[in-house]
Amino acid sequence: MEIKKFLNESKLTMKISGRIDTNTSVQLNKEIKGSIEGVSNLIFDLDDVTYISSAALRVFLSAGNIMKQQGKMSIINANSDLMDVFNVTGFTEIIDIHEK
Amino acid sequence: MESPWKRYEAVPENYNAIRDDMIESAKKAGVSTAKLVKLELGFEEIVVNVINYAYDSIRRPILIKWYIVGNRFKIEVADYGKKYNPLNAPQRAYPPTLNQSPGGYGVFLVKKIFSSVTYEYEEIEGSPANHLMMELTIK
Repeated sequence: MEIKKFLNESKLTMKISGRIDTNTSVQLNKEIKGSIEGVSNLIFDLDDVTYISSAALRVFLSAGNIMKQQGKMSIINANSDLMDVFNVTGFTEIIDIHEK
Repeated sequence: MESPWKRYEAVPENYNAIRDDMIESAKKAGVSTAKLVKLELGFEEIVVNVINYAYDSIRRPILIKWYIVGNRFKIEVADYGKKYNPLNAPQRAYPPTLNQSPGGYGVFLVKKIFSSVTYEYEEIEGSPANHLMMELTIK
């Protein structure tokens, strides 16, 4: 998994590529926690993400909890396989998620 | 046809090799690409759970087998840790809310992904074991 961060004033886009599984979700969580102070608009770009596990869902939910206090959060460019996971878990009802 | 048990050490370093073996077999069995993602997700939940929580001891075997029955891809996972039925673990309320603590998605997803998931505590290769059996429709 690779994470590229683009900060534009208080808008942070995290472009993730690869797999967000049990192991890599730990790295993602650290990157988020270390990057979102002062951020009011957090965007996860999953254009190049091929797989997410439930550990990834926990990370997104935790980030959503933080961003609820300081602004907004969205997920963009999720492929149809990822959308299946977001739909089946009800994530699409609580997080702003956009399909690729 | 049912296959023999494959025995691995239940340590994190072994997970990728175990997963790759299983995915390769699923591909050969004709499991579609879309279903492979879900299959891997459910498999990861179960196997990582055993790796992380089944054992306090140094000896940590995990037994896994997969095989095809009709149009179903079947996976069985067993361990000799403390008796534990993961299907009884607390799971997320649906739909979730941002106010809930993160967690509880694993069992929820496993039950959603597989057409059948059953648990038995029974003797396997001479010792009592947690035995989880999952089925996925291939097409």
